[in-house]
Amino acid sequence: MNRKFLSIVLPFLVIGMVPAFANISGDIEENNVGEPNAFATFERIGEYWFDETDGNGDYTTTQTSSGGFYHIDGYKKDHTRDSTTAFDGTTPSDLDINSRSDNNVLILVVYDDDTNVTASEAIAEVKASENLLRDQHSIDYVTSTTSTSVQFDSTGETTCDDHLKDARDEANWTTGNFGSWDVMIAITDNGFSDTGGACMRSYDATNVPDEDGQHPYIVIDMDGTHFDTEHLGMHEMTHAFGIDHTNASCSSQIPGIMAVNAANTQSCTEQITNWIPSNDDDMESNRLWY
Amino acid sequence: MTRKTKLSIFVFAGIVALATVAGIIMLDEQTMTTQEDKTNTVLLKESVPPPVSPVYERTILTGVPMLTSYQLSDKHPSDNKVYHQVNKETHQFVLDAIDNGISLLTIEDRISFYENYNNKDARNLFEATNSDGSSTYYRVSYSEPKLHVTSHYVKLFVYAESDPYTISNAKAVSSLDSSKFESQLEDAYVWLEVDDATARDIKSIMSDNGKTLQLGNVKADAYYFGPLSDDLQRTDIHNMYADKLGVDKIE
Repeated sequence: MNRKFLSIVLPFLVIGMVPAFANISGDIEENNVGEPNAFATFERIGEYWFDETDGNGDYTTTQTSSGGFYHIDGYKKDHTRDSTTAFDGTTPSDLDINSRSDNNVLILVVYDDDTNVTASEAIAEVKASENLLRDQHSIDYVTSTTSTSVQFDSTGETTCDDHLKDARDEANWTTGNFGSWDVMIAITDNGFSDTGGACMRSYDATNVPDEDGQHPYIVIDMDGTHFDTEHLGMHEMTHAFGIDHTNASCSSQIPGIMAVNAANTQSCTEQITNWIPSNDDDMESNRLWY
Repeated sequence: MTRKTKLSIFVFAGIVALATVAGIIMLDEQTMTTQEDKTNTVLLKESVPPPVSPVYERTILTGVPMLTSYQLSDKHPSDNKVYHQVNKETHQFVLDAIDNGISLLTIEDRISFYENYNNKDARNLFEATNSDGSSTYYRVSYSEPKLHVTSHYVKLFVYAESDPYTISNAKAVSSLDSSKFESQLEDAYVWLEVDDATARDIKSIMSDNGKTLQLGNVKADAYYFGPLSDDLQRTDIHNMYADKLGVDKIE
């Protein structure tokens, strides 16, 4: 076989070995009956996409690339989740979901009335991320009926942590004063000098909470220059359920809400409102903490 | 080119490729910052460091990209922030969000919104000039909730009694109409699914009275999303969802 022949034929052979983008089709069921209006999420490194089930519980989507195994999650509001993995070109196994009740997390909402944030705005911004936790992990926010007004110190507050500690002190978020509240979230639009718009501490833990009752408290800035409050709320509440950042390079992980790579020279544009599969597993394990 | 020269070029190219990969791996090391707060025996979880590239530039969607607005009670007396005026030539979708409470976006709309209106000085704050020359103030926020475009959803933004200024433009609706919002009044600020008949009733109420309603003792902005969404008349928005669903028309 001469070289010229090989140089012509080999490229075609190589292209032929690369799998073409294929449809992914499957079924989400409850009690062996297709479940309409459920979501199927498809994830693998660098990729995320989702589809909705039709009246028969079927989903069909076209892959955006070829790349081996992908994770598939099926979920619906007020239902358990199910997940599987499948290889390009294969049919995933059916996903089985079942009805379940929401679990409530009781959130004390406070707002910084030194700024033009109002009581109603504060609750609205806290609730912005609720549908993500409610629909995917059956976690419902029960907030204070009105938010508590606090006046953050007008001087010396620049960082997120400055605001966070001030909110804690002003709202008296201390042992003996938590009442029935599980988490405190403070809303300001003062603008932070350091982070992307939110931060959290746990009153009784040395890191993200590792169990219930460690009284996380969060401050969210409505500055809006980096993220929307839906995104910020989801990220911080994920910490409240014991989940830390995902520190791998953005290019080597599934796009997820907990991705960080501040000094990474690559762009980290995939910090999307999605839990990666291991985060989903942890959220399921910890969803009854509060 | 001799075989030896070719080999040299091949070896050199291999070294360059390996060095590049090694460089990337070294740059990928995590940089999560933590800082102890000794006085309170807790540890700060520093979160969401500023991204190198703006997060809004991502092209992956996790739900329905939209702007929603609510009216700010008034300009706070101590407020020295800048309020945006919308360029109606290029950003009609922002005006739609202010006028209708909600506006559906394409990815291009989202990028344009952030690039033009989202900065440290203004923070999603908007000023609309009324016909009598007075101003009304709004906050316009981006979100991406995972909703089914073929289902109906309604959300209420309830103005709290403790808000420092009264919303004056709420249109009172009958108690019968108020009852349509019963579940939304019980669980405000979140999208709740409603049946087709309720959705049509609520759309009719909003069409007659506007989005800002007096529901009994409560003032609230009402939002609707679903197949009756006005923005589905936009060809680009309609096609975005019709293509995804594999249908010609969303109804």
